Amino acid sequence: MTVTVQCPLCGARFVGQESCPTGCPMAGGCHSYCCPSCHYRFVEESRLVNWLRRVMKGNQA
Amino acid sequence: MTRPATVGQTATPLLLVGNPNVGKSVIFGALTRRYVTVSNYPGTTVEIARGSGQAIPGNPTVIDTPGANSLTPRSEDEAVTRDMLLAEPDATVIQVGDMKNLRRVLYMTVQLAELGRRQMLVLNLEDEARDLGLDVSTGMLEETLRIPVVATTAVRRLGVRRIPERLAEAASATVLVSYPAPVEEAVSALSQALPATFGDARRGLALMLLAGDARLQGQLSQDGDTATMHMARRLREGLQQALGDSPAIAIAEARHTAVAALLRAVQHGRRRRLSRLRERLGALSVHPLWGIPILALVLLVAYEFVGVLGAGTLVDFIEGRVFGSWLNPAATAVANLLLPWGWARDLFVGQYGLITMGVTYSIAIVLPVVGTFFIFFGILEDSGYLPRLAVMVNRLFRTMGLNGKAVLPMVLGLGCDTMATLTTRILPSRKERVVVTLLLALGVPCSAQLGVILAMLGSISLTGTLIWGAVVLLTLVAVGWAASKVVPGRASDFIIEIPPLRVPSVRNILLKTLARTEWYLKEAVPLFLLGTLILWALAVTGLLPLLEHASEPIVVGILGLPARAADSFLVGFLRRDYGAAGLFLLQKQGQLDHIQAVVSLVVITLFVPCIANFFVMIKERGIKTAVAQTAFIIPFAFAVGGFLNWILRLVSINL
Ligand SMILES: Nc1nc2c(ncn2[C@@H]2O[C@H](COP(=O)(O)OP(=O)(O)OP(=O)(O)O)[C@@H](O)[C@H]2O)c(=O)[nH]1
Ligand SMILES: [Mg+2]
Ligand SMILES: [Zn+2]
Repeated sequence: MTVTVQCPLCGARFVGQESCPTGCPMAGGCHSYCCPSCHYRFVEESRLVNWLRRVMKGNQA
Repeated sequence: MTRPATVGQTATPLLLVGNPNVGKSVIFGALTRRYVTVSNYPGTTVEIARGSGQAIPGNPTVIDTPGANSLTPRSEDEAVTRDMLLAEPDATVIQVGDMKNLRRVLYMTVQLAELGRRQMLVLNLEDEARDLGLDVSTGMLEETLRIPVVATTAVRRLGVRRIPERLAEAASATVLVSYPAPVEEAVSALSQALPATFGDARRGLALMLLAGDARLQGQLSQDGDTATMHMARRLREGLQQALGDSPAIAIAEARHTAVAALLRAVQHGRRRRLSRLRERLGALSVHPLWGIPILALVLLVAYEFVGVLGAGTLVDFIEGRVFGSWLNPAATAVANLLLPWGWARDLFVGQYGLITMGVTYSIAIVLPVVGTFFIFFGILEDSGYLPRLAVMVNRLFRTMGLNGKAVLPMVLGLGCDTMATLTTRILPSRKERVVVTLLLALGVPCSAQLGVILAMLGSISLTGTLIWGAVVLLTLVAVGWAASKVVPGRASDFIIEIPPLRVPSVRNILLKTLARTEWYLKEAVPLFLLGTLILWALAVTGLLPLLEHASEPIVVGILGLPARAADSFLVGFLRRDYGAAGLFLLQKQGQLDHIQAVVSLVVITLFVPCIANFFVMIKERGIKTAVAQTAFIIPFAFAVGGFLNWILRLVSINL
């Protein structure tokens, strides 16, 4: 699934799929997003976290 | 309001172009009153949709294209959009962009302008931009670009009506990109050689060819223009030589600079409603003078939170209680019961046992430390301090004579050196990439390692911490300075948009920490187990004592550490934090005095990159550079440690 994510460094929003150079030998690219505008890399959120995020949002609304 | 004069103009086809997922298809639907599949995934429109513009006077053909990030395509989808632009040379372009992300929007505007396209700009997703508190002034943009700019919320049809109203004013955008002189020369030579039928698009096409757009080159050669394509190749190779770098990077860089200038011009008109306090604090945090005490305060909080709370309280509980008094004794009892062979018992619960060492280190020691560090790092990210840190580091780099762009990989290195090494690709010259790779491998501790280091520092004195910090920083500056003497740093601009300071949301921090923790468990624990297995195998075969003995002259003699510290350096090859965890435990067991602790910390900080980082170094910089750098780093780390040990003992400092 692809989602829009926001870069924690420069604040750009981008589609989670697109990324900068991958090639970390750990676990096939090491599950991270890379911001196309500033190249900051950060950890991709897992299904568990996404689920929790939705649940918490639901509770808030 | 149909003005007869405009009918003729608007009857030229309209081409919807823009980044992925910005609402092109929704706008297409509104303009044609036709339904097109719209979904929240990028790349939805893979085929070209055509319709008749029922909502536009003259009912011109409207063409929807797949989203593209750049007009120098990197994928099939992007190529489709570029090919469409060439196939419809007379079409007026309606560029649709995400108002939240002007930088990317303008990057495409620049490329459209270079193709000489008549265009207007639609900034969609205005609702989301407002939610974020962004207030983009379309008037400012119109003034700067000299094309119509319209803000819309396409899903609610807001503002969409203004698109047909302004179409007649569409023009080629005014943007000034200043390419390096050799690029300009090549562009003008090449565009003169391109067929005159391309008209104003020739400049843009020449740039694409010089950036190495193989697809375009293929297409043009098919059209029988092989001579020009040979010329393009020759010019490109010449540029590569002249720039000492790939022309594609130089071109992209010049465009980014132009976009940054545009943004600066536009954002003058941007007002954010911020509290006075936050505004002041935000400004102070990047102040050349006041920024320093603020930075010191941030570091102090990190030290207290990660070093004292995480490493002290939490580790004491998890390692001492949960593992020390319950889990490990229980595992030992089970192993004794089930496993009659001594070597098998050792494999699980021995000194180098998978449970008593591998799992204990990763879960009981590193996890609490890294977890608290992740919380802290998440707060730094969400508060908007991180980009400010980059600005502060940038100043330090300037004085070192390094390119300001090097800041980003270095700050990233605090997260993961391996990732950061990959990021060095954004640096303009090979020499800079090599220097930053070296600095990363040498002295920037990754998050996990930094956590454990803070943990050890937490139980030494503040003086010890300061000594460690000063030695590492001095080493970095010295090596960086020496390296930048060899490598003349080009003073290219470091551009980062500084977001306002925000109060982070607790929920978001917790979720982020959870995501990172999960990531850590997946990435790191297998390596911890592998490392333990290697140590166990070495111990069973009797090689470990030999290795320890062999390294005694260095570890014991020069560094003044207990022989067992060699184990930590050994596993440090696999993961830096594993090595640090070993030292941490030695310290907790009272086997390291304060001087030994500081010395061993300095060594493990400067010590070799982890194995993942090493592989990436090979991949990015080539095996020769990677091996050479490692061959420099290892003896260098021991030398600095030995020197520090000697000095500290000499002045017999009381830490
Ligand atoms: N909140 C909001 N959502 C919008 C707006 N415009 C479009 N969307 C949504 O954004 C998503 C993408 O819209 P599309 O029209 O498919 O985007 P696109 O640019 O055609 O996407 P690709 O063809 O994949 O590049 C859809 O879920 C739309 O409902 C808007 O103004 N506000
Ligand atoms: Mg679409
Ligand atoms: Zn970013």
